[in-house]
Order: sequence, then structure tokens, then C-alpha cells
Amino acid sequence: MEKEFWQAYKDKGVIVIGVAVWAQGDPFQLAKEFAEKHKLTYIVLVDESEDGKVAQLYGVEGVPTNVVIDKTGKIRYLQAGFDPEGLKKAIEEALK
Amino acid sequence: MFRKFARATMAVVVVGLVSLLAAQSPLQKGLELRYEGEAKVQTGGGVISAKVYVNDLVAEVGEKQVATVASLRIFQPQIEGRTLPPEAALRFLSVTGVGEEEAVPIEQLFSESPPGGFISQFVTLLPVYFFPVARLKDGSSWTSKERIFLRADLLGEVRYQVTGKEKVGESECWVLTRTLLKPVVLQPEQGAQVNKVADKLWVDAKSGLVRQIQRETELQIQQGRTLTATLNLTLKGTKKLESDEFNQRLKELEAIKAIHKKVGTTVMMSPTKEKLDEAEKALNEFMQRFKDSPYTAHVQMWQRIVQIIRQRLEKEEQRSELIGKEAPDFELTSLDGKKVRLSSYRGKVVVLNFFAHW
Repeated sequence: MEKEFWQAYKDKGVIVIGVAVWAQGDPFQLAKEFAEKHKLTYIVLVDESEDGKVAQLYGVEGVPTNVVIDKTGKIRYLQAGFDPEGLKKAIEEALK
Repeated sequence: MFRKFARATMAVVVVGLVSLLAAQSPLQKGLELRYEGEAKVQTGGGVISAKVYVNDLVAEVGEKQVATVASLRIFQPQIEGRTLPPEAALRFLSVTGVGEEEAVPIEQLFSESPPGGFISQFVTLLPVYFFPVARLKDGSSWTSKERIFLRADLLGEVRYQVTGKEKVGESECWVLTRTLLKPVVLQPEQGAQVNKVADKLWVDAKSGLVRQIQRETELQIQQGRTLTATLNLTLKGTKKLESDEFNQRLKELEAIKAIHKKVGTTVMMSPTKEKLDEAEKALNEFMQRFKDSPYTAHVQMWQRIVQIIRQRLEKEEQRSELIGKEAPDFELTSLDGKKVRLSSYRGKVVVLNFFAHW
């Protein structure tokens, strides 16, 4: 995420937000460790609820799941699993 | 002329031998065998232990003494003191008069045994229950091709060898080893293969029934990652069911067969709401009609699985319906303690990356 998407697109009007879900332990501590380990510089939010309330809003059942939201706030892409090609394409489309 | 005669004689000898052996099959209609024991699976992450219960019922004995055995095999895992839901296979086996198991189509295996029951499959595929005593002599051995991995339609060559006699309790038993001769490759590109299956069986020298099983298996999931598992099972009791109880069990087994047609590959591979509803209906009906049945563990396992598939299907639908719609708004706290609202980024393209840190 960091290099391939945040660094590559941040100057083109793209915001990357990581949403940490389903923590087993202290959610903030775990997310912090993860962000430090992978040197993340984009926004990382923490969904503290045990059942992942925000994840449920988006029908997320497994991680990673990626969502692309366009400038008008509409969902353009929602995909379980990591599919860099598809994600890139969706971002390019949304930027048009 | 001579060749014709020889062939005819051979045929007579073979027929004679088969009937001699068949006459000794201890699998009589209504016979119930109960085995109990434990399994241990060593994974990269630790040890999973499990209590194992097997309940075999000879439901029918047909032509040439082929017995239909309904075999309930419950694998009750525990991890760090927590008891997990049981994996419960209910297999319908055809055991021939000479103690060999007839092969079944893989679709049948799918509906009879727990899907993804990566671990319990060491129990699902057990050696058969009896060996013709006429075949067991000190030092005798034979080989056979048998299915050795639940999720693959592959046969492995195994070698049986009688290594001596030992007592189990009061019973004199032949000790028989069953060994996989060479690894069975499951997925060559990932390096997945069954490296080892080594069974030690204690076979009652009088009846030919298996009194005790000790199993060691080694499964290579991928290059450099292996699971090893051990299993110990002991015959705890045999009983001839009274006709009332036996008839009740036959009814339950008929209902299970109907359920098997509705679960398994059809539901697993291409689930639809209708198929799931139908499967669920049959499962719920069984639980109402036969709530005291020993087979409820198997039915409950399928209820859980159908539920999981249903949730997955619903989430999938929810996701595809969301595309093109307005993104649901939310507010969460960021790692640096700020409240962040999604809608505040209107005008930008936003990529949400849901992740977990394990």
C-alpha cells in the first residue's frame, strides 16, 4: 500500500486510509506496531469494535479488502483480497 | 484343452477361497462398534489435540457379504484448553466379505466429511475394520492401492505386513502394519504431498476385528512446511442393537443420505440462496425429528457450515450492491489521536484499505 499506492498517487489527489479491524488485543497498540514495522505514512484509523462496525458497513469479511471512492463520494471498487492491477485501474478511472 | 481345464480349476479355487473368507466376516447386520481415542496434530504454530470417537453400525449385509457400514467419526479438537466445535464425518462404507473397502466417488466423500477438515481427515480415512483371519500369518504381507488423502482422488500404494502376535486386554491379536510405500503428490507446484502414513493395527486373532489402531502421518503443505499427526484408537465395545433401536437408526441414516444429496459439492462449490435454504430445511427437520440421534453431531456440523456459506454469500451480495452507491460514512480515531470523518475527503479519490495485524 505505502509505496505502490500512497507514494505513487498522493500528489494526484488520492488519499489512502488504512482501517485496522478485528484486533486481538489492544487495537491501538497493535495498529501502531504494524504501522511502525511497515513504515506507513498514510492515515491509519482504528475500528475498535469487536465485530468491526465499519467493516460491516462495507460487507468486509476478510482482509485485505480494498475500496475506491470517487470524488463525489461514490464507491467505484470494492474487492476482497489484494489485486494491485485491478486497484490501480480503479484509481485511474476514478481520477478521470 | 489343458489350458481350458486349468482356467476352470483356477476359477473354482478362487470361488472357494472367496466363500471361505466371506463366511468369516464378523460384520453382521445390527452390529455396533465403538472406538475411542485421541489425536495430536503438530503444526508450525503448536499442538492441536483432539478426542476422537468412532461409532460404526453395520446397516446392511448384501450379496457376497458386502456390508454397508455407517461410520460416525467425531474429531473434537482442543487448543490451549479451549474446546472447538467438532468435525464429524458420517461415512457410508461398503466393506467386502474379505474386509476391503470399496472405493466411493469423491463427491460422496465431500458430503460425508467435514469440508476443509484438514486435520480430521487423518481420522476420516481409516483402515477397514476387519481382516480375514485366514489371511493373517506370521510374516505374511500384501500390497494394495488405497485412497489416502480425503480431498484428492489419488491412490497410494500401501503395504500390509503381519509382524507378530500381542495381547490387547484378554484378546490375542495379530500385529499388522500398514505403510504408505512412497509419497503421494497432491499439488506438485506447491510441493504439497502426503509423506507418510504408518498404521499399526491389532487384529483380533479369533474374529478378525481391529481392536486397536495407532497411526502416524506426515503431510507436507508446501516446501518446508509439514504437519505431523498421531492417532490412537481402541475398540471400547461391540453391541448387537435390538430391533427397535436398529430400525430407528436406519430411519436416521435414510434422512442423513437425503441430507448428503443437498450438501457437499453442490452447496460448497456454487452456493445459491435456494440451495442453502433447501439444505437448511433438511438439516433443521432432522434435528427436530431425531434430536436424540447419535448422528446429530454430523448434522450440526453441516448446519454451522451452511450458516458460514450463507453469511459469505450475503456479504458478497452486499459488496456488489454497494458499487456505484454512496460510500457509507463513518468516523474513527487515527493513530495520532485525531477524529477522522470519511466524508471530509469529498473531492478527493479515497482508497480504503481494511487490514488486520495478524
